[in-house]
Formats: sequence, C-alpha cells, structure tokens
Amino acid sequence: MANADNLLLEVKNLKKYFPVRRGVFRRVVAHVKAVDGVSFFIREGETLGLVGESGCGKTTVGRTVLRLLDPTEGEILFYQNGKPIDIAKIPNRKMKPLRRQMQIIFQDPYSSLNPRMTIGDIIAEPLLVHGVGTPKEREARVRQLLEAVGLNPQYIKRYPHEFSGGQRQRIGIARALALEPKLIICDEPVSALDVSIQAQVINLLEDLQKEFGLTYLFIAHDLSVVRHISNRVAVMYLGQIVEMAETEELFRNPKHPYTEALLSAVPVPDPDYERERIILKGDVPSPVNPPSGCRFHPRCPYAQEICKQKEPSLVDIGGEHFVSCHFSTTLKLRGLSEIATR
Amino acid sequence: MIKRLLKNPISVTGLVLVLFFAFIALAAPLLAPPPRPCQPFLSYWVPAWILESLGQRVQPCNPYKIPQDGRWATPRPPNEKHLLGTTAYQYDILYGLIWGTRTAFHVGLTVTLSILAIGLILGALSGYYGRWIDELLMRVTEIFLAFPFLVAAMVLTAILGRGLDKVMIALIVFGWPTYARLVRGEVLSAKEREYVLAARASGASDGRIIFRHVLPNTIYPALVLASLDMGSMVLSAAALSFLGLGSETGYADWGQMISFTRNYLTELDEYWYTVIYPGGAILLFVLGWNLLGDAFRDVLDPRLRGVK
Repeated sequence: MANADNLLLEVKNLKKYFPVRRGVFRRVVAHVKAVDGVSFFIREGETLGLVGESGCGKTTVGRTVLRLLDPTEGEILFYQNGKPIDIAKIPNRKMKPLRRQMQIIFQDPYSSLNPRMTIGDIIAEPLLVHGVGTPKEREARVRQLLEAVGLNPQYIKRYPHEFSGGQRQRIGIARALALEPKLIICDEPVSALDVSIQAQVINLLEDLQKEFGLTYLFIAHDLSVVRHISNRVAVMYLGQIVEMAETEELFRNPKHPYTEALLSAVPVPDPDYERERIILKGDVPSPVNPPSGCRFHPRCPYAQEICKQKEPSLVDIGGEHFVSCHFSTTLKLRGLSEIATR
Repeated sequence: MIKRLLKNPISVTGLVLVLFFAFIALAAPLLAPPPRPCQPFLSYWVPAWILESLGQRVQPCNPYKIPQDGRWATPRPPNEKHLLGTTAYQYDILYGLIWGTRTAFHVGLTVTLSILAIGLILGALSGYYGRWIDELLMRVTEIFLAFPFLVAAMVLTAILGRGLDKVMIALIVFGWPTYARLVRGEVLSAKEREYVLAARASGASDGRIIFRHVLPNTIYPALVLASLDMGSMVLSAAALSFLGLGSETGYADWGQMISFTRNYLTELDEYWYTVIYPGGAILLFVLGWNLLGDAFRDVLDPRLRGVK
C-alpha cells in the first residue's frame, strides 16, 4: 500500500465483528461489523487523523490496534527497527513488551483515571507493571512527567477528583508518556473538554510530539482539530475507510462524496457567511446489516446503479491519495475553500 | 471520614449502640462471671487452640450455658438475686443477655464475613470473566434467590439438625447470592471504565486489574450491605432460635430466651420482663448496625470525600 520507508504501523484489511447473542443458549444470531476491512499506515513521527461520525468504528480501530480488543481478521504490523511484527497474531502473553511501545489517551478524562488511586500511583502504574526502576526512581520520573505535561509536581499525592477536566487529561497524557512509547493512540482526547482547554491540550500534544518524537493516531470527529494537528487524514464511514490523503489535499480536493459532505459541515468563523450545506439523506445504516455495494450509496447524492451492486475498493489515485469510490476520477467535488465561497 | 461520621447524630447513635454491645461482649466474663469459672482466665477471649499451642492447659468449659435457679416453670420477676428476673425454667435473664451479646456478634460476624467473602469472589469472577462462568454462577444464584430466605434457612436447619453452627451454615448458604449479584453488577460497570482499559494497555495482569482497579471501586456497596446484614442476620438467627431450631436449650441466645416465654406471651402485664429485655436487646443491636450501615453508605461515597 505504502512505500516501506519509515513505516511504524501498517494495518491491512482489519476486521472486528462483535457477536450479537440471543436466547437461553446465547446463540450468535448476527454480527455488528464495527470495523470491516480497514487498511491504513502511519509513518514514524507523523500524525494520522482518523475522522468519522459517531458509531463508525473509529474507537474500535484504535482499541484493536492496541489489542485491547482481539481482531476478527486482518494484519496489524508494528515496525520495530524496520522489522514488522503482526500484533493481530501474537498471543496475549507476548503482548506485554510491545505495550511499552504503544499507549492510549482516552476521551473521557473522568472515567479514565481510577478515583481511588493518587495521581502519582496512576502515572507510575505502567512503570510498576513493567518493573522499571526503584520506587524512588519511579517517583522522580512521575514528577518529571507531571512537569512535562504542565502540572505542578507537588500534586503527586492528590486524587483525580481534585482536578479539572483539562488537568485530568494532562494526567492521562503523562500516564501514556511514562513508558516512552513510540505510538500514542489519541482517542478523541479533546472532545470532552471546553473549547478554551482544547487548544491548550492540542498544543501540549504537539509540543510533546516534537520533544519525544512521538507518532499519533489521532481519532476525532472535529474536523478543524484534525486539520490543525494531522499530517494526513483518513475518513471512516460505517466500518470502512472511504478516503485517506495528506491533510491539505483532503480538505481542498476531496474525492469521496462523504468527505465532501463532512467538509461542508466545518464551521466558518464569519457570521455573514452564507454557504451551501450538504445535508445527507437518512441515517447511518446499521453496522449489523450494511448496505450492499458501496456502503454510502443509500445516502450518496451521486449514487448510480453500479454503487448498489459493486463494492469499490480503496485505491491510490496518485500522490498517496486513497479513495474508495467508483467515480473518484469523474466526480467534481468541492473542497473546503470552494464550499466556503459565496 | 471519621469526622463526618461523628457530625451526624444518627450515625453517632448507631456507633454508640454498636460500641456498647461490643463492650458488653468483651467484658462478659467480668460483668456476669459463670458459676464455675473457666481456667485459665484468658480462655474467655483467646480460642483454646491458640492457648494450647502456647503450652497452656485449657479445661473444657461452657460459659454460654445460662445458670438455672431451680426447675420451676413460671418466670420470677426481678429481685435482688436476679436483677432482671428469671425466665421460664428459672434461667437468669441478665446472664443470658450478657453472654447472648457474644453469641450475637459470633453469629453476625461469622455469617456476614463468610457471605461477603463468597459473594466478592464469585461476583468478581462472574462479572470480570463473563461468558460461561457468569452464565453458570448467575443461574445458580437465581436458584438460591428463588427461595424465600427465612423459609429456606429454616428447612436447611431442620435437615442439618439443631445447633447454632447449623443455623449459621443455613444463613450462609442462602445469604451469599445477594452479595454475588451486587458485586457482579458493580464489577460489570467498573470493568468497562476507561481506567481499566488504560491498565490493560500498559500490560497489567488480570490479578492486578481486579485487585487494584476493579475491587476498590466495587467493594463499598457490599461493605455497606454487610454492615446492615450484621443486624439482620442476627435477627434471622433469633427467629430460627425462637422457632426452636437454633442453639441447644439453655444456651445464651436472645432468640431462644424469647422462645422460652412463648407460653406467657398472653400475660405480658405480669411477665413483661421475659420479653422486653431480650427483645429490646435484639432491637437495639439491629438498630445500631442499621444506623451504622446507613452512615457507612454516606461516608464511603468518594464523591462526598472532602465535603464538609
């Protein structure tokens, strides 16, 4: 899919189905196809934004990559010194050394910190689990981490409920940094925060990326945030990636009708501004029974007969711009700047 | 936490009642020395097997047997020799009350701690691992919960035979499912919290996750229920004793003391002391634990921590 230099993570045809069980014997009657054939890659040191509406499977992708969920099918290649290791296949007990390389920041800063542990214990836990350092060394490391995320190191003995949402998110970030991972999955890290705090946390994430050479998979539904922080963006719809490209390319020159519709919803900070919103028909179909052919066809304003019958595949139309649409080369879609013109 | 407990007059009442009974239980050998004192003196507080392992010789001795003053069936009112009177067959009421406090704590603590432990283990297993373990354990608890508690305990005691230990076994057998259910529900909700995922993401073992993250956030409702059950289990044991299924005749046990007076319940104007004293003891003991349980429930809520 991508040329091999500097790759850190490559996901190929990842699937995660959740069984739906019914009845006394818990028979499997159907599957929720939360992730259904997702492929993407991330290069070392870059940020890949993963966007899509609620329930499209973004979070499941993130959790499956970390093996917090076991994938149903597919490959998750994590590159260590240029050599790929398939995270999807290795047994759980061999995951532990790999967990030092990849961490996660959660969306909800309230449920992601154990209310009965002190901040010091929370941040030191990954170190403790991996047997890093003596208790003294760990405490010194925790203080250093607190400072790195802009919190007073004296807070070490306090409990999570004594902090605000933004502060808690910084604590979550410090925990993720503790083991000096290469990859951090940011699962909507700012969507639960006030707008004023969002900017602070985003800037912190950017600073830390520069300082520690981190690679982010940045999951979000806020396009302005994603545009700000990402090098490249992947757009998800109903368990599949429909488009993936370099950030500015995707925003200026979308090739998938769903991306166009999403972009038309980005707010423009000008009250006099009138513009055309593309309102999609209907709701997101159920991931238990996805539509035939192209999954977007029931809601797509440009849908043709072929869209109902044949499933398009994600292809590179040039310059690492991947699109999954039968008409990716023929449709004239409007990017952000064009939607924004009167 | 203790400060908050002491600010509320209701909690204080509960605490005072429980401490009062605890004092009576501990001081029983001094407050009501048995007619034939036990040797050595320490054996009142330290189990015989510990003393023996320390090289002491312990004589068999049963201070729980209420001394009788004759065999006369009709109770006698309070007098100088028997400060609270004697109940039917001349058992001394004061002695029975004092040593019965020990019995109450013995029954309450044994039953409650056992069902708490069983409930915590089974509930945590069921909730954390889910799937067939959960399915199996929950169907079993449902079978146990389907029987009315007191009736089921009564039948089991009747099958096992008379005795305080049999009563405790019956209460444990039918008491744990409530706890398993409670803990399972709490674990189910706690294990989906993101801090548990965070611990998994950093490679923490199942044991660490259960003991460090899940149980500390789920144990408190069970502890509150246990403190309430300290009272109600004693009440159930008393009910079984009243029905004649409990301890052997003459054993210091509040339930049995009321059972002695069954024939005189219609003439309470004359024989009030046979019911009021042991009944009052049960009432105050249960009330004390209930008030304390309510206080625990309020105090142990972490969201209220630090609130004045």
